[in-house]
Amino acid sequence: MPSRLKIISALFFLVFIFLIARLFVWQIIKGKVLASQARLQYQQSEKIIAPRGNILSNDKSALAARREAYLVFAYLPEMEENASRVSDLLAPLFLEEEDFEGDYDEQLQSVAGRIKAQLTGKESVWIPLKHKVGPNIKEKIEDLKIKGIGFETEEKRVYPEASSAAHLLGFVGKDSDGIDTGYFGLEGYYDLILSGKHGFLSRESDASGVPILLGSQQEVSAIEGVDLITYIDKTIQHVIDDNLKKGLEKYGAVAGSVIVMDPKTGGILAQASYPSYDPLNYQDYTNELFANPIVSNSFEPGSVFKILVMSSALDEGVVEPDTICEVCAGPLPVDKYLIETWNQIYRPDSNMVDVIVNSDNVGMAWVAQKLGKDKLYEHLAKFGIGQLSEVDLQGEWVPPLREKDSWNIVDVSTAGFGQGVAVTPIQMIRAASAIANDGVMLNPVVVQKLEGAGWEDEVTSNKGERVISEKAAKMITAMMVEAAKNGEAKWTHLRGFKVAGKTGTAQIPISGHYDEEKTIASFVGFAPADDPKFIMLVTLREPTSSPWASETAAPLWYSIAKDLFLYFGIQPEN
Amino acid sequence: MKSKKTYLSWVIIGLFISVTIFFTIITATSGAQWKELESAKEKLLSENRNLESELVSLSSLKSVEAKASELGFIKPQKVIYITNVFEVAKAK
Repeated sequence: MPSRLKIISALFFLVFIFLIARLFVWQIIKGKVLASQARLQYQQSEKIIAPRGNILSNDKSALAARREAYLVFAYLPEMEENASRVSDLLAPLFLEEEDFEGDYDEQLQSVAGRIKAQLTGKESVWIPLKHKVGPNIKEKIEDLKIKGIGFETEEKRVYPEASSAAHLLGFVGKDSDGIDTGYFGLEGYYDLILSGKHGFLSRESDASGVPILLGSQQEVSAIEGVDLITYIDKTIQHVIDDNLKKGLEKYGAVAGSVIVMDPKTGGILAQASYPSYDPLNYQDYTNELFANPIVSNSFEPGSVFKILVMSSALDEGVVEPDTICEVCAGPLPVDKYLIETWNQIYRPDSNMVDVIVNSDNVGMAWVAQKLGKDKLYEHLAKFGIGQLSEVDLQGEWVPPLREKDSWNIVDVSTAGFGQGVAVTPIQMIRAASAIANDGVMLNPVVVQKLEGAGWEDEVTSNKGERVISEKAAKMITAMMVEAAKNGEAKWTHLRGFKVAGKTGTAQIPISGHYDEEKTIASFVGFAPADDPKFIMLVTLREPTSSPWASETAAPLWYSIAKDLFLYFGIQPEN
Repeated sequence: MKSKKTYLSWVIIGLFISVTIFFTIITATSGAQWKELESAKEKLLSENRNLESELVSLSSLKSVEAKASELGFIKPQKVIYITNVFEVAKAK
């Protein structure tokens, strides 16, 4: 009997030792691994998506908005149907989401093949099948009741006005880590503000996923992206977009841009450039189309630049409107070059108004020489030539203004009529807007306010800087009114409306000389001249119907202005 | 006396167990209710977002223009400005 007791005691002891050993393995050796495995079962974690801010027009309607979308994924351990069947069911629905060209059956086969390849791959058990699927397609997929197919909430960007203002808005693409990021235009410039910050939720839940009320919970709230309220006016945007498309066709130009600005606030009211792209399907376009020509492309301005040089000369008092040009009787020799007028017509008794009205290169070369290198350079710098306009759009590039010391008499003379200098359209309209705003130049700006939940904030106070005197601004405005009425574009002038404008036909420099045939035609103008509601710059690259701005850019400017007069309630004078 | 104490102890233990079970059930069902409320909130928010998105698409100028054209509206072909030299109508 005692020996039996001893055996049982020994057995108990051995079992006890075994249990202690197992406990040691579970608690000490595998403790961390098991604890983390257990945590995975009861700890639920999810990302709280911060909605991206909207981009709104001046009436607070959407130019770029968020839309709910879903990531469709497959979880292989739960999947019961075979890969072929699943891919055949999903492919037509995925195709509904895509803009595709070509044969439908071919596309369908290709999408089904892709899904099947993903499902039969052995790399992982959780497979993302399609991003940014809309709610309608999600519902249709749910109706199919395919086990193992699930959804994760995502966000999709929509641009209700499609490619209109694409260059102003930019687009949302993916960065190298696959995260939504804004590129170009406002999406790029304000990406951080628009993006907000994603949040995080971690809490304990039971086997069925129901949260345990008394369990631990950790939540970091998402910070929503901020809405941008812009100066963009959708009606004006629509008008210029429509007219520019027609204008490009009518005048056979390879590219063109129109920008409309409020000279009193610096607010960009609208901008259109073609060729353009659809920001929703940006991946279907080449990279060259993404850059905004208004801020990224420079051109030799030609005659539109004359208004800046003449206003500088008027501001310095070196000429008056009735000053007679002393050299306008014929071509002007400068160093080894001969400066001629654009039409070889010379008017010996031209005063400064005539010089602007007739767009006289000889007269302007003479004005620039009278102004002198130092004063000319100083004024061009004041007008912001060679400097960033600081507009709130991503991708602004500025052609530098050559060092003053390197300028000779030829440079000074040719700058008088806009040759040998380069500007971007945004620089040109900013400089010209100083004339429209009584000599005070404002920085161009697209966004006027930031808006969050329950708050609104002005972006900047745009006080501006005086670049010419009010008197000089009024004198050059009067000259521009005459130029619009009686200059080479007078045939297209809208009778009765007080428009201040100037045409510019610039040759395109290539490899050290000017192209004989290709031109950039432009027209800058504002109305009404004495109390401007808008200033607009139209540029057409290589128009083929005529090389001259007076026959291309000017009529396009007036066809847009006709609609804008109605919109702004601008009446003819008589 | 002893039996009274034992009886009281059993009552307290019983009460404690009942309360614990009661609160456990409440907690468990509250978790489920919480989840249900969260789902309902998410569904409403999602519906709201979809309605917003529909509004955005319907209020775009492109949609409005298409609708206007469907309804027979056309752009004015010519604009005439009238001078107010003569009175058109005057109340006496």
